[in-house]
Amino acid sequence: MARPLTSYIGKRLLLLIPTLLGVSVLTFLLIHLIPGDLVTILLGITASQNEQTRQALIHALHLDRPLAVQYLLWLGDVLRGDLGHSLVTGFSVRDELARSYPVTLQLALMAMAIALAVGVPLGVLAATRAGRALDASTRVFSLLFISAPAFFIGTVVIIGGARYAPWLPTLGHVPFTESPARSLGAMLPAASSLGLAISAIIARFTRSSMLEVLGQDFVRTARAKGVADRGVVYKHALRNALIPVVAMAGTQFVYLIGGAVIIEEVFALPGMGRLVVNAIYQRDYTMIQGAVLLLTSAAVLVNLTLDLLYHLIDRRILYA
Amino acid sequence: MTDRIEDSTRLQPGPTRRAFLGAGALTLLGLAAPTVPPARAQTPKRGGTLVVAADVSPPGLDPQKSAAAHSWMIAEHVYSTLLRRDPKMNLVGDLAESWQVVNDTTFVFKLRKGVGWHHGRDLVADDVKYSFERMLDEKTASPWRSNWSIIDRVEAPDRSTVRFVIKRPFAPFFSYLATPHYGAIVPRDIVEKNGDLQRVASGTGPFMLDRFVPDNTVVLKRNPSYHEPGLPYLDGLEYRIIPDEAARLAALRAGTVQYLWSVDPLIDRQLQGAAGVVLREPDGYCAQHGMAFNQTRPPFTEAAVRRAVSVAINRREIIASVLRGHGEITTKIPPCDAPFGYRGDDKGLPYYAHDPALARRLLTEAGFAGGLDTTLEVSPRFPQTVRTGEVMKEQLAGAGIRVTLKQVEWGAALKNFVRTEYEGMSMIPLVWQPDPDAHVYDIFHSGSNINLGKFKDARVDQLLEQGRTTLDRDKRIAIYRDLQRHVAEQAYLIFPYASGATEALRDTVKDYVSIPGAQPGSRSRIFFKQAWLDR
Repeated sequence: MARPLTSYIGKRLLLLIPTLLGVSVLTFLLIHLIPGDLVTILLGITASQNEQTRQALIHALHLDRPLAVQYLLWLGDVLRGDLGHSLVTGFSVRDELARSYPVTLQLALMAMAIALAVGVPLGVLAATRAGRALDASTRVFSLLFISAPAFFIGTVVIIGGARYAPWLPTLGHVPFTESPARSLGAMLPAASSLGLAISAIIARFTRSSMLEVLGQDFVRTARAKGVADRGVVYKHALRNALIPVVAMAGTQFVYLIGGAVIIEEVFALPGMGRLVVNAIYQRDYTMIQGAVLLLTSAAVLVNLTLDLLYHLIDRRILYA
Repeated sequence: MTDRIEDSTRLQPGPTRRAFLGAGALTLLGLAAPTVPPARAQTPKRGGTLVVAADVSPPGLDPQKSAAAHSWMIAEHVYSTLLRRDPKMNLVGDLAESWQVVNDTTFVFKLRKGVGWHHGRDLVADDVKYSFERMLDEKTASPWRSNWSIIDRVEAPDRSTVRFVIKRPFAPFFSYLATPHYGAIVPRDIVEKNGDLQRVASGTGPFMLDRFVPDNTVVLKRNPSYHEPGLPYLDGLEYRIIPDEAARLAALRAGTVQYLWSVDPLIDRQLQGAAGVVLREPDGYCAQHGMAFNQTRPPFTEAAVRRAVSVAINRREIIASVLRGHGEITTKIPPCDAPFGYRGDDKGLPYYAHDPALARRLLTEAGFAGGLDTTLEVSPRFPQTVRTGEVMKEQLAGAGIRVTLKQVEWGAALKNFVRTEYEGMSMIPLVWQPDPDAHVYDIFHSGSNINLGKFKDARVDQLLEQGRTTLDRDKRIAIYRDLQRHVAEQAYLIFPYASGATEALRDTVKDYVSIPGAQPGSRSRIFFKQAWLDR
């Protein structure tokens, strides 16, 4: 059992290399295809008048080399462990990623924790009381949060907070390393706005998955054996019902670790989403490339972890 | 040399009227006596941190490298310049205690004594020399290199004397020195230690950098040994980056931030009557929109067609609808720069008054009796530009000019605009420039590669050269008025309006000095130096 599992993980990790190469070439080409150029954006209208200034900057940033050469130069640096410097600010790309990724990761983890903590119990309750008042109100809750985008809920939270509880910190970010308690507190409104929207989807999913499982033969068998109702629901049914829920939550999580751009904007969180969007606006090629490498790796690793999770939930799921 | 400096009048705290009469050409450049600070209603209280809600994170803090207005907002509180402007826009000494015009191309500045850098060392003349040489060095890739290319050499004969020698008479020189991002004096040792000043800062200004977390916050703290005794009153100044407009407004209402600028004219009504919030109208309109025509191909090679566009649009209606009245009719030199700015109305400038019948006649004359089809590029990054474009489209349709509005991503829109790579017309927001010459030279001159629309006019070129080299202020005013009238007459570019940013403050902020038209980067100002919090 242990052997095929490690070789499976090894294989998946090896696949990361061609994936990263492919993604980086593709991003590099795409970002150079977008009209608009870095130098005009950097210099602004005031300073782009001078051809000498323009040429000096183009040369300093190696933008006068052929695209393939630019890519290979970048790749060479990356292979030596150097992600380079932002073309706009001169900041180290690695430092910028190290600064913003923890924010995004913390937001994703908190949002997911809230989504699961709210969504799964709600779904189970709705399933076990299908057709009754609680089920109906869960459905209303789900519909509300599925229909209203997270940024709308976020804006409502901020405006409401400012009006009725101005002492509450709804905006800004405290690094986790500075003060874990304050950091979690400051991010709670953002994480809730994001988490509640996902919890609504999870609740719907859990409910239908539970209803399906509860109708299956083995549940009837368990009941017939005299297993208590709680045991049937939580031990037998939920475990089986969770697999599609985990798959769905996993997809949501992969999306979250890419940076929740709009929520980051609304709640003024200095995360990955804003970093990448600003880098694209400014055609900050090295920053975009570095971020894409990190995001791709993260997505591949999360997917791998998810596959391993299925195995933990149900040992019968094996890997070839 | 030294004799002549000692001859020059000592200027304390700034130059006096007499000093300038003695200094010849300087009076003509528009320098004037310092204004007396307004009488205070209350005694200022010390302490507290004022929080500014900023919409965009500064891409870096180096005033000599960053062309972003959001960097200058920070830099102007951290760095000093040789000269600065007072709220009346007069030039007064900042790091310079006195100065002397030796001749049209040689200027000598005597530095204020006892000014120290935030990191402890004394300011010396070599720092000033270094600051300009750094901008001129190609390796720095400073956006201001071409602005200073007029400099032949900068010399530091002793610790407190700086001498500039320029290649030929250049009227904007002193304005540029007083512009925070062009003229910031930076410390050689800190630049050399860190490579640049994008992440670190040490200046001689009223506030010192405490920390800078990109996309999150810039925290400044009081400089206890600032060269204006007693100032600043605040213990700290924080720029909190809040990208979302609704969130910024909510934070101001809740009192967690005390200041925000550039409130959209359509949104400022939301804040009217909010408890504890004060709205400030700008004292003058300095920012503008500019629409350029692609004049490399028909139909806009024809002056009649451009004139038709100019009279087909109704500037007053645009100001009333898009800006809700918060704007003025303008040329490229905005009304806040009057008397250089053409403070005319639509009757005073040729082809400015709304006249759709004339527009049709002009079109018929040019062979477009059936009207014409064209495009207008705008960027959704600036919703106000898009709204302006929509209103203009309607107005132009009234004269038979059928416009397709093309929304283009900002990076592409800016490039197209600057290089005339759009099909018909393109419009972007333009910013205030520190001198009439800086407003028009590069975008009007036929030899410039950012000539907006690629038009060539020998008369325009001649006036531009005259404006740049004429040191007599009244003659300069006449030259720029001629130029603006000529450009309006030929309708080379359309300037639909000048606008300004409404600022919103908490009522606890006192003695905040707003310089006319204050908007990010659109004015040289230190606006929180004298401010204090009534807590």
